[in-house]
Amino acid sequence: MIECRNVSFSYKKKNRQIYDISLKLEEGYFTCLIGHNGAGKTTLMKLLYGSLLPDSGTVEKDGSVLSIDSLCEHRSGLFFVTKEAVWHPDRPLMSYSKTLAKLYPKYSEEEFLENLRKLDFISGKDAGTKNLDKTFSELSYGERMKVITAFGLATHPEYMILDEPFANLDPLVKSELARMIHTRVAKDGMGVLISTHLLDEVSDMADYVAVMEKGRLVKYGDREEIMSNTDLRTVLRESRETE
Amino acid sequence: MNAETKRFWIEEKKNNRRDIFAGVLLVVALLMSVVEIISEPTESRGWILVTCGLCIGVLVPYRYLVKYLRDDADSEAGVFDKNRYIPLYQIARFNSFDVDTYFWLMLKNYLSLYLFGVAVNVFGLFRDSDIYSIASLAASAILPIVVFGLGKALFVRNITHENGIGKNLSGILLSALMNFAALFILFVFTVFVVIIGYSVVVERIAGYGNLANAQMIVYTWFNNVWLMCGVICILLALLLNRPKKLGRIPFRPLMIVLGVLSLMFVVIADIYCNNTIDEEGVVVKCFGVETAYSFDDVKDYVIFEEDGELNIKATFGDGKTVKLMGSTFSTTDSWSEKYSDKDAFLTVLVNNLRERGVEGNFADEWAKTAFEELNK
Repeated sequence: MIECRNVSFSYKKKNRQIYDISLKLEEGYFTCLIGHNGAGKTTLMKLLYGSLLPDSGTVEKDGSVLSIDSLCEHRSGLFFVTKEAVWHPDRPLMSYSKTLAKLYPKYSEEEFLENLRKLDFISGKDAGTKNLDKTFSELSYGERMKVITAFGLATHPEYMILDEPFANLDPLVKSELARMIHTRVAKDGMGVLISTHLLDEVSDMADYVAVMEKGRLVKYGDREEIMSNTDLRTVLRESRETE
Repeated sequence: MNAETKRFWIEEKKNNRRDIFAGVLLVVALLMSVVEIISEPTESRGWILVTCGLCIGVLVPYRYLVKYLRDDADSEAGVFDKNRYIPLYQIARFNSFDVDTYFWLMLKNYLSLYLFGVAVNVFGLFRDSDIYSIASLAASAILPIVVFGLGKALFVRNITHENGIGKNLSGILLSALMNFAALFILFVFTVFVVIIGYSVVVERIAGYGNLANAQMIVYTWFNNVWLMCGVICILLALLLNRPKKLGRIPFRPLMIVLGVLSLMFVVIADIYCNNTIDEEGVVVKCFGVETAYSFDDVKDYVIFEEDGELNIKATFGDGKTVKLMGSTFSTTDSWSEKYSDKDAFLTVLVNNLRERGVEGNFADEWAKTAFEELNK
């Protein structure tokens, strides 16, 4: 279980801040993180992954507190899908995936290719399609997210944190991606934290919903409980309209 | 040690094969230092080892930390800029990555070269324990470790902070290094062109001059400068992953050409241009032409100060002028019995010339006083 307890964080030169947030990410559960732009969703995800260290409070994984010395241990079995993640811009995707895969002992290349097929990034049985010969810098934003997500799923993580994975994807691919993630949660017991504005895409899959506003967790609980809250539904609708 | 990070390191090494050339360059530089220290213990080029220490310290983190990736896009703005680089910490920020393992492997990769450099310096210190040898040993032993330590601290900071500071810093440093090197090389080439040009003009047009001496300056005395130019040029070529352009000129090929030319000068000058002095006279050898001059043939001479020491410029019967104190001196037993050091040779030679009626001149009062002191 990954858990943050009373975590606060501030950027020195930015106004975005996280105030006293406590959240759990359990294996086999799907948690959806919702909020307006600038609410602090990405920052919270980075704190959970260890790309940022909290100013106060703790982030723990299976009881071990995250520190600068335990970054690698904390991240083992954890994968973060984010728009900030980059791959080597000059090397073909297939070639670089083999290099990056060295960091992940459970990685399956067959599964990576299969995931890319499902996400309509490559087609047919031949792995050597044109898209795989492309470099990361040649991909659009949506294509990058497809590649990183497909790779992440192929590493068989125990937990997966996905920051806006549905952005810039067409509806069919969105549905397929949501289904793929849900399958992994249901079959392999993967713990998932996903941030999105599109609650409809995951509302029937999420076990827990967390709502953030201005750096604070304003609501966190069971999906049914959250969805039955009329005020909250208004917040979510506004969030979607803003997007 | 984290097995996954080790596997990643091994894989990445394959993609950084140019390091091999950097390693070869460093080994060559170190071997040259060894030869230099053994052959001329009183004039050991300890600074070469300092350069090597810096190379090891600076080059490796740069290769593996800074130049790993190009910053191809601002993901939020979608702006592509193919000339910007991003460092490895960008990869490490969003992947399971063991910094301790990576840095240990990086250090281990160059450990033998590092230890060899230190050992050579220790040897140099025993041979000639002057301030330069001590500084050289300290620099080659400490600098790489300091650079590695700072690199690791910076790396760890960057993977846990939003705005990495190594990227801009390294960019500024590299830019400064390149500008410095370009200016340095330009300066050296300009000086040599001016020296040669001036000598040619004076000799050919005015009818007198010192082209041979100018050539000697270029080929021999500035040997160290040529060597430094060569090392800097090739290092810069290695450091550049992408062809950076200076106007329309591709920087990397230019650096390689200049570097190779500079190093060729060093080799050629060492092999082909030197004066050898024995009891009878001096043998001037330059680019295959070997001319022997007897001290009995000296028609005139000037004693002058150079680098705080006395030197003598002798003019022979055919007008050839040779600076004698920058030559290689005989190592025979009879020579050693006759001359305790170079100064002894100078005084004996001048006294002999005076006995023959060749009075010569002093370049200034300091040279005159210094020589008279020596001659007491």
